[in-house]
Amino acid sequence: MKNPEKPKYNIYIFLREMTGMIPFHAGYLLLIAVLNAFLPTVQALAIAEFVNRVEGAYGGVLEVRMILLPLIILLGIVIFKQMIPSATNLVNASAQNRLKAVLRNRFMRKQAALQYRYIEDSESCALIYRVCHNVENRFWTGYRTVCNGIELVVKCAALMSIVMQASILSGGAILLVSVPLFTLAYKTGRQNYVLQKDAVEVKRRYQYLAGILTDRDHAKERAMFGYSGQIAKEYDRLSEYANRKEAVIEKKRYANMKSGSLTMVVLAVIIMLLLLPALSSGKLSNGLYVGLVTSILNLVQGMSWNLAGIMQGAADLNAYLHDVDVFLGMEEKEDAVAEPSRIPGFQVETIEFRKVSFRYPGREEYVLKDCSFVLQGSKCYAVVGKNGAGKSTLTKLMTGLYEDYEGHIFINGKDLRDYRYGELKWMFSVVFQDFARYALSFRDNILVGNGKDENERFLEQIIERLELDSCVQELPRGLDSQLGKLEKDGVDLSGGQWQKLAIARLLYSEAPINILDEPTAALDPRGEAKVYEMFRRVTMDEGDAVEEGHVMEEGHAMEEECAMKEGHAVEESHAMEEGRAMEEGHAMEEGCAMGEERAMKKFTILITHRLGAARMADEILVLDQGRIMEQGTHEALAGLENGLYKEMFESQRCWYET
Amino acid sequence: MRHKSFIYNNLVGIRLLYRLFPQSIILYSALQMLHGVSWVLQVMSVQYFFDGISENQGEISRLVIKILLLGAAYAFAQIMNGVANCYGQILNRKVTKETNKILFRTLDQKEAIAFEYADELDRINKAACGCEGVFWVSTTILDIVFFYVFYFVMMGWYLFSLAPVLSISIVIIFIPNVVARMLHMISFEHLESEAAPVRRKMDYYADCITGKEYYKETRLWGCGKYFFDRYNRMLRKLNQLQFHMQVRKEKINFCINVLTVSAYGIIIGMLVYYVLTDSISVGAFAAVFAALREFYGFMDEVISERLAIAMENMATVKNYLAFIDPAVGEESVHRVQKEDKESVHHGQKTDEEESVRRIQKEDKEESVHHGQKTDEEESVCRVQKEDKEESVHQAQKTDEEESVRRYQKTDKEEAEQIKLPERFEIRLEHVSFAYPQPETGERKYALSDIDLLIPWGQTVALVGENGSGKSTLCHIIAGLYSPSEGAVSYGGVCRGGQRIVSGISAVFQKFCRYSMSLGENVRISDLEADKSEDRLNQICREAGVVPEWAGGMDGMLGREFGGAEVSGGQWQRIAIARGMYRNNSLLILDEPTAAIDALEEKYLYGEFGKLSRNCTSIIVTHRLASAQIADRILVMKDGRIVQDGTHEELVEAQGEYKAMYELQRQWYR
Repeated sequence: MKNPEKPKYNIYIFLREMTGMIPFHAGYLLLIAVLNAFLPTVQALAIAEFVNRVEGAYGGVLEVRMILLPLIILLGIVIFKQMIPSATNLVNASAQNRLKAVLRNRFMRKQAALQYRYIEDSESCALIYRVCHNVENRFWTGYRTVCNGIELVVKCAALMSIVMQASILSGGAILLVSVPLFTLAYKTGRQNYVLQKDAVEVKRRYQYLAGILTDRDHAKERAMFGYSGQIAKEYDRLSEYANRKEAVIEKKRYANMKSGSLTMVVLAVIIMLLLLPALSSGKLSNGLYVGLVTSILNLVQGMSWNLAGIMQGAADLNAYLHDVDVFLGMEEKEDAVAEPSRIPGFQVETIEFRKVSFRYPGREEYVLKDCSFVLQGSKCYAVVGKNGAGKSTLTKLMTGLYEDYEGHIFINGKDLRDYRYGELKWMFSVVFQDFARYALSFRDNILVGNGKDENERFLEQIIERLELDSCVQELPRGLDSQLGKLEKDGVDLSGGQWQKLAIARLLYSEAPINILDEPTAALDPRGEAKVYEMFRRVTMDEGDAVEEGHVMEEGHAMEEECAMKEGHAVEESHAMEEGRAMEEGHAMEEGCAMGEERAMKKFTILITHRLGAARMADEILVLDQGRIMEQGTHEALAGLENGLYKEMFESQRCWYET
Repeated sequence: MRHKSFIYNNLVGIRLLYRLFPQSIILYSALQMLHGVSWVLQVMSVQYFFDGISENQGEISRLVIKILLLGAAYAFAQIMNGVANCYGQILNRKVTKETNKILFRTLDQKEAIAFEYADELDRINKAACGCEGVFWVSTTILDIVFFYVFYFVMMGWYLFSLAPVLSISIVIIFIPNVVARMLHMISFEHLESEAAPVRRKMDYYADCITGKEYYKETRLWGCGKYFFDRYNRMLRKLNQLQFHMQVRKEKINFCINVLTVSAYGIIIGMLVYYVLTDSISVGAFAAVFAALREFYGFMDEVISERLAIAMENMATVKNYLAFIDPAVGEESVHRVQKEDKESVHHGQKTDEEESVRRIQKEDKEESVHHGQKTDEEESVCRVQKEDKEESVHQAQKTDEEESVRRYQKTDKEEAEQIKLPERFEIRLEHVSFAYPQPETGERKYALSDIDLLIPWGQTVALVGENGSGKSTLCHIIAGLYSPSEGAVSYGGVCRGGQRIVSGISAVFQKFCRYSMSLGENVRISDLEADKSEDRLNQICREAGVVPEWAGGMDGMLGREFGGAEVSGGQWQRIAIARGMYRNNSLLILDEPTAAIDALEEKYLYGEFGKLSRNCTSIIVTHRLASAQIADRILVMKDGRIVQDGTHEELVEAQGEYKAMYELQRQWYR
């Protein structure tokens, strides 16, 4: 699965990539870090010079020009420290821009190409989010941490070197003391994240309760059941507990951090003391001593926060790089981002599942177990089953979203795995239960993914046939109105209108296989019936009606079919609708002629738990316990003794027996 | 304007904090003050030490003492820094807890309809965001006064003692920074607002490619490239905007920096001058020079960090402060104070004593604040009091007062909450209801002019298309929404804006799935009731809830906290058990079977038949046929009841019901 030769994504690769992506910025930052590192030393020397000259002049006349040089250096330091951040900010912005353009594209491409299983796995999703969220910032911050670390080390070393020059003995002694004290400071600064876990868990709990007490989803039950007071008590108890725990952690954290700085203070005092002999013996001038002490004290001041910051930054970077490594190691789907590629002359003959077994990653139980069935290209199918029987899984397997199933799926006798992914994309178009509502224009919502060639007439017909035309007319800019809230003038459609739009997308597509995966969950039964009717009208009838010689009047196929079968007239209530249907007939005929080459016969699979809708299919498949238990026409299945379909159908039908 | 409201809100925030935790806030301020002092001590000790070096010729022992003093000053500063910050963090948590609780209580007073208003919802969300910031934002002024100002004044005094003119340097350093901040605020707001929509679009297109909601479709339609193109266009635009913004910022910064550097130059110049004229020691020069950066750093920190961040977050905190009901806030303040004191001083007092004390206290408070309190506030306080308190309270008052109070009290209590009788009929008279639509001036009625009488014990089915007003009617009957016009009464008790506290239970269409234990999921509908375990088990049995789903009544449900995952149908049953668990004489079931399959649905409707025997019940359903279990069917259309009768009657009659029924029936022939 994973390519074993792929090197782990580590700090070296990270640095190499950074210098590759933004050589100038990275170099600049390093340069500034090194310059900054030498500042305390230069400052110490300048102050030394200044003090020495002032003191040297005691008794004599002190003139300004004598102290001009150290003064200029001191002023130079001020200017450097004051002005450089501005330049650095600009470099920051430019570096992040560049990183953003490069990294975001690269990581998003990776994301778009991942195997679908990662997307449905919440843990992987969390990791992907951690890696990809503000990626440029993470990279840049990481690099800055590295530079800061270098700066700190060089800073200490540079100061140390002056001390050594002045007095090797004192210097050596200082080194001896420094190492253990520095290590101590480092260590105490590090131990921060031990106790936290318990508190975090409790925190999540009470935050969840806070959600219950404040959010909209719970508003009605909250008011109805009046549990606010009680839940608030529980919230109080939990947060009190967590606060107490966290107070302990907080105290520990500060104690650690500050004992680190206290150690540094002690170190500074020791250094000052150790340098005293050199001072009194004259090896170290007063000025240099003062200068050194100034710089060392400055260092101490910054050290506690600085060191803690660098430690934290390093730990973060480390964890982040590990995440990046895992992310980059995630398996990709071949051709995942390919555009649909047409197979010329393709006609669906059969779709076959042969002993297909599948379980979702990380799950024990199989959703599908030895599932076998054959679908003929000339018919229209419905898949029914209880909730959770695995109906939607069929779609996900057929469309190649999941590919690690056992057994085989054949389309026209050719294994699904042998099709290129682009071909599969072309072959299928699906309306999912949770279909996407793109915040694009009305038109683009239908055209998206359907190639470049826009067939305006065909589009209009589809809109008309789905009875969306009145909706389009109401929009401020017709077909080009922006939907959703992304643009200021965006408008939102109702649930039913979105649903129709999703179906329009599918109808416009030239894909030979259509799957409707519970597309009407948001609608009431009447709206649902309408959608199915329409769907049937615009897809199946085009092919079936002509082929099978059922020259139906048009529209309301379902109703008429029923009516004919039952010999029961319902015209009465539908007379009006029929009338409208007749009118539509004209448009329809034109449409057929017009969109002839596009509106080829479509093979349709309906997935639903509403049994009434299923019966309009030619054949029904009943999915239960991971396999197809029954397959046949509605009549056949309804007649099956002890059949699941019969049971389900009866359970709904019995209400309608008068 | 802005600054004024900033300071005002800050003060309001501090007042709230002070009322919640008076001692802690005083302690916090004291710590910050010491923290400020400690920094000044550092500078002084450095000068003292440096002067020692210059004067000293070869005598080490005195220097050693000075070094130790210096070390002590530094150590003290570090410790104070740690203690003050750490205490702030801990206090912050305590405060956040309380601010949250106040928010909860305020929300609890709101009607459920508030969550349907986009504006109101927005306010609520913003207020919720503000909860966390109250402490940090409100303490900004405290920090400035007690830490920064203290530090600067002390430093000023110190510099003044060196040479009076030097104290001017404080002002010199201040000015450029303040100017910079002002300029930034003026010139970047609009750029930021220009960038925001671009960023939003960019994020959206990224979501179209990688978001869970879009992922599979974008992949299957093969339209990733389309979104990539759009994404990159937005990204480039955003990058340009941001860089442009940064350049402008740095231009201003550059000017400011020139000013700052000049200020530095002037100060150093002055220092040198004083050294040359021998009015200050060279040690003082070195010490002040060393302290300058720190000095500048603090200045920068207070202006560009503390104040800037506080200003940024002020908006949410302001929302919070404006949102929380002052009455609720005040009341909980009392509560916290009491709890505080009680836990500290009187932990072992008996309940009775405690409540007496509590009341005395409240009385005192009342007499103090009485002038400011509105009636509403009072009634809130009143209602929340316990019965026991009440009796003690009354005992303490003179008879006269008592009777007046009692009268007011019952009156007010009634105004706030309604307890329904055991059996009641429901009567709606001319009820109309419009959802708030702030933008379009026209009021669109979801319900219009509904007259309805539901006698005790009837089972009523509500049917109709989506959007015909079924759910709205349910919410009105349940007392969650108040009718825009008309009146609702229960057994003769008319409901105004009050809350009904008992007698009604409901299973909503979008019922909640609590990530709690199975038992809690059911019990949550009536937490105050003290019902036996047997009762719970019995209800679960009746609703078809099997404890084994979660591994027992105490087993957790939901993914959030690693509980068992149960199916939609199982959740539905749990929701029904929840509705049943609450003592009710009226049960409302709002499309209870939308998410489940045919067999499950049949089972549940069977259950509803049983459920509705001992109470009045209202069932909203799409499945017309299942309406047959009802005694009476109401057909709704466009916010009106168009048909009313039994199934048999309605099937006979020509009309909406029959048309819908036949349409559905065809599917099942």
